[in-house]
Amino acid sequence: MEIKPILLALKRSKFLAALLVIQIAFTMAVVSNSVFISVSTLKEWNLPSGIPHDDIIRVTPRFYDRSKSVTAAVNNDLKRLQEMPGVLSVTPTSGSPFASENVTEVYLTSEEEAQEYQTVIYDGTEHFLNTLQLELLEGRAFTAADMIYDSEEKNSEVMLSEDMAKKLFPDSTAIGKTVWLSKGSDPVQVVGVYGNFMTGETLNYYGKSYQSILRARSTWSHEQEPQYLIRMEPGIAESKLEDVASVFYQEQGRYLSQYERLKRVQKRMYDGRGSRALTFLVISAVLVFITAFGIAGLTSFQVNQRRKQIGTRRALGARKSDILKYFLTENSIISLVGLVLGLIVTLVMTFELSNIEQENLLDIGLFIGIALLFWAINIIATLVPAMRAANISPATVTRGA
Amino acid sequence: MLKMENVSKIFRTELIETHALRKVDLHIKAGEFVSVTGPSGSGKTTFLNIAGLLETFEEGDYYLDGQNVKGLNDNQLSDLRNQKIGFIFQSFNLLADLPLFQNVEVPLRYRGMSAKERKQRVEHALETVGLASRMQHLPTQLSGGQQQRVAIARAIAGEPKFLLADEPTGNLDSLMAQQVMDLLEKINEQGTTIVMVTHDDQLARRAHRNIQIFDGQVSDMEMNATAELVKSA
Repeated sequence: MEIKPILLALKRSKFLAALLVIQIAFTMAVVSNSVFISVSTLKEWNLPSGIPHDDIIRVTPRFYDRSKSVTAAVNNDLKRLQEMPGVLSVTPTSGSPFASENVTEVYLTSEEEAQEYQTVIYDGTEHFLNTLQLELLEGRAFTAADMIYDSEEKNSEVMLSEDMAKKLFPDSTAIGKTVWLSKGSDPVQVVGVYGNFMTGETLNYYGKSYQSILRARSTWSHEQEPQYLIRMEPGIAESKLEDVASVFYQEQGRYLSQYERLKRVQKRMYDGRGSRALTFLVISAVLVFITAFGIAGLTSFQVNQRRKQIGTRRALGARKSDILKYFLTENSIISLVGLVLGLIVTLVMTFELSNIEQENLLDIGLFIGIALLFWAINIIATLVPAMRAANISPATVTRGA
Repeated sequence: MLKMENVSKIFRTELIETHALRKVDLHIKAGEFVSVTGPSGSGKTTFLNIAGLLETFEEGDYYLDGQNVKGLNDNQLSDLRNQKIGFIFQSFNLLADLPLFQNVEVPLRYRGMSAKERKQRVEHALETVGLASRMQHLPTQLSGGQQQRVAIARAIAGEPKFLLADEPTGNLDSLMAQQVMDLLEKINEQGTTIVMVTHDDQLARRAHRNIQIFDGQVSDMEMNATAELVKSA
């Protein structure tokens, strides 16, 4: 290999080589971190919802007429909905799967320094589990007798999702255990554990998608408006959407701010993060292209500058493949230095970004993959002008460039 | 050493055909020192390019050291150039980025010689041209005459049988031109065949033999009787 002469020649064009090294290093660092962030953004992407989201309709009414009772309206709604053909189960709820961003902390002791556990607390009727088709895994489910309709009354029992139970009580059963739903509140007792379902984007982002708590509670007011979850017979939810909406217009003093299938809510939940990841990936791709074109352009420039030199080498016995090898080796040396420098810059950037994102973003395997990809792109970008160089006629040497 | 039979070269564009060489018949024996002269555009460069395997030709046969080069592929031609021919150019064509040592080494690398052998040959060649002490200098640090001597060292380092010189003194003043000619004659005396293209009639006369090219044809071949006289003077 002709490494020594190439190094000697590079020494003479230090500035150009340094520019290329810096470009490669910078692009490498930005691309690596963009990919790290994209991967971390998409890490909890499209997890199983745990519920038949195609068949469940969510309705969000707004009660603008303050002279009318919300509780009465809810009771009427439930009655009308349950009578509707195709409806399997209905519950009013304080939050909807895929859209519960009211994350709160619960505790296992009443001490001031008690450890915090993030969760979403859902209020609903005894039909909540059935409406979401959630399985009872342990203990008992809520019945009509457990329901609290008086806003002054407090719940003394809760059910936990499977993941919540495991998180709070990793070593033993949760049934019969005590939990504090907020600091200074009365303790509540766990009576049952149900199957996991997707809560919303916030917990999903922290990798705690399925941590939820359920209370048997249906106390609604203008300050705490309910949403409705309605499970339809399989496959008909889409066609029944308008029929369901019309039920709500039978009552005066409110309007529907939203009515849609949970499938759409789920899509919306992931779309934002998809866009974020996509943005980062597009930026990366653009940067890679710019660098590739930069390398191709610079190599092209060098080929034009060295036409006579290449002709001379050909006259002295270089085969076409020798010329090709020369440019590829030269570029490989430059990109190797660029990638090593890029590694250092990447590590520094990743460290800083990990601090901001509060998450370790560094993925060595991914980094090596990106470095190899970069290497390949460098080679491809060099190949086109290098092939042109190889095709320069040895006669250039006597006829002038 | 070099034998051309009916060699023709035609340059074609969409509109015109130019006959750069027309049915050239020529025989140069081993050990000869031949000068090639002719006016601009007569086909000298084309002749040199074909003789040096830098360009292909359409018709005829060309035997270099007994081997017919017609129909050889690009790699075979590269290898032949590398092994059999030493080139000396008017504008030296040294690689500006490389020190003298690496410049002289270039053809030896393409021949795949070991580092040790390359070193020996480069040092010997540079000694022959009197520049052994400046091995680590860059070409730009040398005068024109010295640069041409480096080019000669590069041409002879691989000990080719055949040296092709294209106006080797064209860019040099008369004193330096003289030194370069002396060097070429010395190399020739050691048995290397030399073909030198030149504008300069005086230099041409120093060769054993002068070939004149007019309008693509070798119209005149003569033994140069004065060459011996010039040399012995």
